[in-house]
Amino acid sequence: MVAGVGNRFRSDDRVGLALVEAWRGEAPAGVAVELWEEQDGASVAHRLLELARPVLIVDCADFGGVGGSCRLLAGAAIVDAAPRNVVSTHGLGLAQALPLAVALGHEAPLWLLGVQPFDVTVGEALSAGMRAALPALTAALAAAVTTILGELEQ
Amino acid sequence: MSDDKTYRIRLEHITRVEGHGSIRIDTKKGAVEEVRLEIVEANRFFENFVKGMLPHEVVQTVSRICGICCVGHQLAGLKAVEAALSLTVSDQTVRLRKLLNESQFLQSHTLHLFFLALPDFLGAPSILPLAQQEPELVKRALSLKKLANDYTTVFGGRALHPMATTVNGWRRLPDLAQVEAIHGRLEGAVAEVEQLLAVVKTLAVPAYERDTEYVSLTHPGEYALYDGEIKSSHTGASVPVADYRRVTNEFTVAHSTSKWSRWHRDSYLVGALARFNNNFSQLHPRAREAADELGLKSPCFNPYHNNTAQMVELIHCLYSSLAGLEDLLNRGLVEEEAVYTAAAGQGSGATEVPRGILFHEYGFGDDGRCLAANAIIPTSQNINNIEQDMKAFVPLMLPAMGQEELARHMEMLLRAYDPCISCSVHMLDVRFV
Repeated sequence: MVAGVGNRFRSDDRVGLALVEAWRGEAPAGVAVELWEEQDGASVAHRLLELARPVLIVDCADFGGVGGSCRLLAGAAIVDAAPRNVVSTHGLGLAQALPLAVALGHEAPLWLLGVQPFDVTVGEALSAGMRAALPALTAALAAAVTTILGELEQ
Repeated sequence: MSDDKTYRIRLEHITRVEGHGSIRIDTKKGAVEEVRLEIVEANRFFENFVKGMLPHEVVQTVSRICGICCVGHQLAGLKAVEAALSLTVSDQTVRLRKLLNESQFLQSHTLHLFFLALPDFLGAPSILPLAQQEPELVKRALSLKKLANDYTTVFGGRALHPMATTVNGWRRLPDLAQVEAIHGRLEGAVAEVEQLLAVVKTLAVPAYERDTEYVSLTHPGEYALYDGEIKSSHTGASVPVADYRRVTNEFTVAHSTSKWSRWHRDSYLVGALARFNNNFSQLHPRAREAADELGLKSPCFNPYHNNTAQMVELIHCLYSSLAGLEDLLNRGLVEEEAVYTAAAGQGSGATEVPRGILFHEYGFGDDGRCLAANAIIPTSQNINNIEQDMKAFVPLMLPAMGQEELARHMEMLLRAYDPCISCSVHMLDVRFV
């Protein structure tokens, strides 16, 4: 399963959705695709537990990299990267949803393809920098899926 | 820290609450020198953002004040706008809005009680270790949260910042097949909620009481969550929402960017415990029974029991929603035109949100555009009361508690109020004419 996460109204925060939408036509047989829009962390954690299968999540993520670059994290690395004690009354974010799902027994492999944003202010379009990076990012997503499928076959 | 009760407690960033608040406690040889709740959030300026907007734009914008009370801000905003324009909405619109509001209560109370407050009671630093410690409990809470999110989505179009309701009606009515599905899922959740209640019954709530003024909406025909007048436990009487400024009496203190409020006493409390105390007899019978099982009696003067009252309201909203959804399915839905004419006017509205009573007020000019706005959220009304609780708690408990235990109880007390600190900060210098 490949799931794109994001907010279409916060500029580069939509990149997870945009990437998965651009790539979904190339999805190999047997790889399901979903867009998780307007979902809080609780819904994401709940969906992961429902799915109980390997999932690659594609989302905008600030990891201190260069705008438009991406980073693939797997399993424990995602959980380790999540802040531990900052859940607010405004809900759970993705950073808490993934470790929460794991803590609650999501045993299937989990990956996160995080894309460093240029801009996450209010706006319906990707930033110019992100638009320019889209072809390379789509290729990175395709490569990540190929790698993951290879790992799963082993 | 020393063992002669000379403590300097600085809790600079309280987790599991929204926004930034700090607790400062100084004691010297067993005597309390200072207790303060400092609010350091910046002003939000929403009241200025909406100036120049048309009424339907105003209500969508103010919904963004809060990510968890977005439904409540929308509803209070709609009621204020409709009062300003002298609009009377249809019975169907009111019924749908009440259901939307209850969906928000289910979402918010589940999140706060089981994800934010429960770790305090079970000795876990946050939900993540608690999920490892009590996976079945957290899974149950997670399922209920997801169900409540979906419930809001069916009525509001999406779980966060719903778009379906608007001035004088609905942009898009809920799909009855989806309403039926939600009804079925809520019926299925009854047993799950009973299991959650069983857990809450086991929680050890700190023994502390301080009688204060409890303020909430009250309505002769129902447990007031959507509509009513403003009731004070101090007088037992209520005043119209239009008189809300006589209630809030906002004022400033040097150590808080959030304004403080007081009515008949030094401070007052809003939220689940205030509603429980003021309107107990109107709760659903199962919710009243649950209160009894939880050892919660009205009036209750223990602010830590705000969490217990949230559990009672969760049960109330579940049963009230089941009845409301069934009624809706029996009646069916009628397409109604949601139109209005922008005009000059001024009006105020209030609704209960999970954290307490929420007030909105708007003034519109001859061109129908917003000239002035005011939004007073529950947490800004509670801040003063929280500090008064802390000031009463510390000297009372100091002889028996060490520094660490005292600090933990102060954090827990703040969290029990389910505060939304960043939303509490608003800046207002406006004159309605």
